[in-house]
Amino acid sequence: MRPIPAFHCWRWLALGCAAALAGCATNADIYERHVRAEDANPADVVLTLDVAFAQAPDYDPQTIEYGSKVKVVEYAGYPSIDVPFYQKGMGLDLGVLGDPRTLLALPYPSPTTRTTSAQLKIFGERLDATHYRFVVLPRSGWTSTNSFQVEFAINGRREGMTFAYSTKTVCESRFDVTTPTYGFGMSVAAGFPGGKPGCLKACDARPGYPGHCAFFSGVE
Amino acid sequence: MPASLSCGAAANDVVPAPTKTVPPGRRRSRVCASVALALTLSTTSAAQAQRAAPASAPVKAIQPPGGAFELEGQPNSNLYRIKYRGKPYRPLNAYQFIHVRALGPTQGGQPMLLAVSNDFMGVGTILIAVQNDTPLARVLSPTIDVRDPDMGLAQPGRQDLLLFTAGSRALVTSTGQVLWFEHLLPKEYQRSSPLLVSVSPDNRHGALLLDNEIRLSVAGEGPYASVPFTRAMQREAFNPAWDQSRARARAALDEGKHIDQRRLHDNLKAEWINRNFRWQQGKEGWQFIGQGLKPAALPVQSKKEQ
Repeated sequence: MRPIPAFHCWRWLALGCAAALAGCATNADIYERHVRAEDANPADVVLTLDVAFAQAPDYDPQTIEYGSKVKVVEYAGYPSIDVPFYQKGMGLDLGVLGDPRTLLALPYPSPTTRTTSAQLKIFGERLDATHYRFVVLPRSGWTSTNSFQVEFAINGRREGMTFAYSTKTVCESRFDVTTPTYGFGMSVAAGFPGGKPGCLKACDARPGYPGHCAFFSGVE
Repeated sequence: MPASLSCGAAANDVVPAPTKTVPPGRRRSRVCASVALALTLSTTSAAQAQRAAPASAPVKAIQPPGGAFELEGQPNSNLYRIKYRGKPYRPLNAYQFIHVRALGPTQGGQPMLLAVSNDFMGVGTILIAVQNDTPLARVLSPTIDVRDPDMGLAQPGRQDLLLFTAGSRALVTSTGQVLWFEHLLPKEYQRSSPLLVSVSPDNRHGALLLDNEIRLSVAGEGPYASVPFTRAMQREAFNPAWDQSRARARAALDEGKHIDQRRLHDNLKAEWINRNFRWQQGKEGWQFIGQGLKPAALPVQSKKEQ
């Protein structure tokens, strides 16, 4: 049985695409990495957030492991925080010097900056049914947007509340907030390493989009 | 300036002509006249805008909603941007709004705002209230419709309550309190989407219309009773509402407006239920009585068990 030519073409095209993309995959880092607050190194902690939920969030912890060479562990089923990061890397654009129609054009690579993003998902430490402790961690090689989102569910209703923080300014970092979608109440208190002063504010981003605060300039 | 004036004069000459000489059947000249009128209006308003603000500042401030909030509009757009303490504020990542108004009550010393975002922003009707000097938004209606935004249905017999039927939410306009009613029992799956049809006088209990029953639910907690208002009874009861919504949508279309006929139908259902059912406080808490139906209690899971 000979495959029909169209399929033959598709196979070569797919192989070609894969080869082309393989060259681009320079950064093997995964987009979202999962960590548990209990496993965090206390020296790395940027911020500790104590949350008292008005209603007990769903708690059904699961651990998912996959990957053959490099083991990837993921967690699910209980409150976590999403911390967004970005990286400004160097990329190359192809510029052209001269007029291409005259065959005297000189293509040259021009450096540009490219922004890529990644997330760290840090699962909270359960103190009791309504009290959780979260830690914000850095991700090596990535720049933080100084914001994060607390994610949880109550009876399967998923909710997210975003916060922004700063260590350069000082404000009251203990307050009550109401979540945007279902109006769940939570009272939060932030602690900064070494008992240093800092500032935590609710930042009113859409659930699922941490790092896009309602104000452009973050905390003041 | 002289150019726009002469243009306006020419258009003014054109406008009265069809009304005097042309019989009403002739559409084209009317269209021409209206186009000319629109042109006049747009050129004069543009001219005024140019005179008011030099070319360097095309953005003008309009209708302040009060407090530390400001609205910013653009000359040729009906979209606004919200500013809080002089900084652009993007609640739930939406930055352009077609409708912003102060609700009346204040929170944290600042007015509460009712806002409808532009459809591309993907956020429907929201309420903005300040907590700890940070404005925070609450979702009121998931409906995304710029031509006929969901501004809530005033519950019949109530002065200060807006029902957002599709989102299962209600807004107490005198206090700015947002109520959300869960229609699902824990771990339950329901195919039908709920409609919030009525809220009890104490603003704690709500009636949600499902396709085979009415569920009674405590705000923010969950359902506690079920009224057996079945599919067959609903079909009979809501038949006139369907015809009425269709007639109203057609009338609106004839006027050149687009209305959300599905939401109108849902709101007519809610009005029918409010006319035919009433809230009654008894030994077993608030019940929703009507049509000779008796509410049956649902198994309520206590908070500790979860």
